[in-house]
Formats: sequence, structure tokens, C-alpha cells
Amino acid sequence: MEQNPFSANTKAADMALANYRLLYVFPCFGLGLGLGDGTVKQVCEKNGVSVPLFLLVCNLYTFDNYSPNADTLMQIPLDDLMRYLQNSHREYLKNRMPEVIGQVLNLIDSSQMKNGKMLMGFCEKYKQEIIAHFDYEEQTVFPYIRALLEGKRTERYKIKEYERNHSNLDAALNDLKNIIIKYLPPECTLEKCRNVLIDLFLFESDLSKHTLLENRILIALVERIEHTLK
Amino acid sequence: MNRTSKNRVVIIEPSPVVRQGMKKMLEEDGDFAVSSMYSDLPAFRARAKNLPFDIFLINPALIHAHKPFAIRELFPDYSQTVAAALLYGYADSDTLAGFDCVLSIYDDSLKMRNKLQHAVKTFVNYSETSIENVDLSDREKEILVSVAQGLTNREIADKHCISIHTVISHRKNITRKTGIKTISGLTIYAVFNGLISQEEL
Repeated sequence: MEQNPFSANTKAADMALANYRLLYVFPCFGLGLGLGDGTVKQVCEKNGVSVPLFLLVCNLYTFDNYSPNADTLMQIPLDDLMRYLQNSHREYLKNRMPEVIGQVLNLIDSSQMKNGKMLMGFCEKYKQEIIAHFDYEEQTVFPYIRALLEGKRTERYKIKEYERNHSNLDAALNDLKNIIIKYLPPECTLEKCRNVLIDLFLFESDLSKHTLLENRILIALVERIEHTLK
Repeated sequence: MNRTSKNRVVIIEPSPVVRQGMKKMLEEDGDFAVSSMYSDLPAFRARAKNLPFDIFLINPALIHAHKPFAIRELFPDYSQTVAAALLYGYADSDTLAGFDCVLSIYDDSLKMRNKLQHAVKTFVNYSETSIENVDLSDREKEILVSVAQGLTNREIADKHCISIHTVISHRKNITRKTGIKTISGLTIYAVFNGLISQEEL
């Protein structure tokens, strides 16, 4: 989408109408429907959400070339950003992933797929992989950042290390899409596969935006603090 | 496209000032290299024979045919190349259809490079899939089976008496053709296509 980014005076409901994928973002800020005609500023203030952070995330999820300027970055509260990231981790594990796995299971049952167990194994392995990925962020990276915010420096860890080890979570989803579209037996008809495929496309693009948020925003903000504490 | 190498850009733009400015901005961070510049289409056609490049950046005002995808018709030999428009002001939407990305001269250099990077990354030539792209070769199937069995590149190289370099290039081609990147994904491919049975894993 190529237009002006959303601003504090945009109606929150209009954002969801312009980009339905934000329906997955809103809950991670504790926002539901029934937004009425409230602007971003009004809705955020009512719900205790940081306006700059909410706008940044929604713009990043909506405009492919969106890149925030330095002023915008400075206004992002790091602890709120971490809370948002943590909420979306929970959303992925509690809702998105089980939905995908459930649909794959349905597909295997309804088509009596011969090698269905393998496909299930693939999904389970992927689930373990994202659990480990999120655990590392929540148990190593975020506590490090919180300590930095309190002015404590640790010599043992630097955000660069996170940057280096930050793996892509979307490769396995991409593989699953390819396998389902191209290589399943004919019993798995398009009609049976369609819902799981649409979920996979949405989940994959959400995860890649999530990774972008961590790589471009979180790391940049933390590097700035590391620099000032030197 | 190899991510470590620079993207080679050809600029077709009448204004020398804009040409030089674009070259400077694009080359700022080392991801792009402007390999040649031309003032108009005849100059490009006359002099750009067989030069390989990845992106052509062209001022759409130079295209007079106002119909969708005119850009692709004007450059039939460059269907594998990313087409980027360099916009000063108004251009009709038909002329812009067919471009993979649109840069405005008011964009800052980071924005321009981001747009180009994005276009390169997402560029897919849907109109033709070359024949060699379609099926895995017998050799690639053998390598794939070894990958599915969990062998390392070194072990695969020894088993098939080829260099590690060759193994890696086979694996790249397998991923390009199947669209599958992870080892567990490739294993599923191998089983579902009957290259290996589940018991042999």
C-alpha cells in the first residue's frame, strides 16, 4: 500500500478497514472491536496504550516501505515495545499456531493421507522451534534490556549477539505452503487446503513483520542506550 | 539473485544532473553499482549490447506508448530484469503498470534503496519458467535423498565423490526448484514424491 501513513488523528476503526491484518495486531495491544469513531489518540489514551508505539506497529504492518524517522523512534517506550512483543508471542503460541496445527490435522484426517504423521511431525518440530526462539527473547534478551533501562550494564551480553543469532521463523511456514500447494496427494483437494493455506500466508507475513520490528526497531533502540551508557 | 553481490543498475534518464545524482545516491551503501547511464532509449539500444545488469531505472517520460506494460514490450530481452521508474511528476497509470517499483526524485536515498531492494527481493518472473527449472535432475534427487537422511554437506560430498562446493550448488538449485528451504521440509518432499520411504530415514 502506497499512501500517507496513519497518524494520531486517524480513526482507529479506519485503520482496521484499510488493512484487515491489523485485526491480529489490535489484541496484542489489548484492543478489541467496538472502537466507534475514536481516533488513535483517543482509543490509545483510554486503554493505556502508547500512541507512538501503536502507530509505529500499525504503519509497519500496513505500508511495505514504511521506515520511521529518528524523531519517531525516540518516542517509542522500550518497555511498552517489549510488552507488545511478548503479547504477540503469546498470541502466536496460544492461538495462531494451534489453529494451523488443528487445520493440518483436519486435512490429514479428512484425506486419510498416507504420510500424514510426517506432516504433523513437521508442524510439531516447528512449534518447538518457535517456543525456543521466544523463550530466548523473553528470558535472555528482554531481561538484559530491562536491566539496561535501570542503568545497569552487563559485560557478558550485548544486543549485537541477539542480532547475530536472530533466526528467521518464517522459513518453515514457507515450506509448508509449498508442500501443500505443490506436493500433496490428489485427495487433498483445493477446498480442503484453502483455509489452512490462507492462515499460513497470514501467519507468515505477520511473523516477518514481527521480525522486522525486532531487527529494525528494538535493536536500534537498545544500541542507542548501550552507546550512551558507555 | 546472489545477495552478497552488488545489484547492477542501468540508468536511462535525459538529465545529466539527475543521472549523476542518482548514481551517487544509489552507490552510497555499496548494495548497488550503476554500471552504465544513457540519455534516452536509442542510446541505450545502440550501446548496451549484452551487458548484464539486474535493474533498469528509466524515466517513464521517455516511453511514449501509453498502454499497460509498455515497458515490458519495449524491452522484450530483459524480462528477467527489475524495471524501476524514476518519476519527476505526473505519469499516467497505464505507463507505470509493468514497472516493478517507482522511485520519486523527492525520495531520500535510503527510501530509494529500500524500494529497489524490496523490488529485487520480490521480483518473480511469472511469465516464463524456463524448462530447466521444472524438475529435479537425477543427480539432484540423489543429493536430496542424502539431505533427507540427515547427512552433512561433507558426508554428502564424500558419498557422491564431489566437492562440497558442488553439494552446496546442488542444494541451492533444489531449494530454488522446490521452493523448500528447511531440511525437514525437504525430507517431506522426498517422502511425498517417493524418492525415499519413511523407513529409510
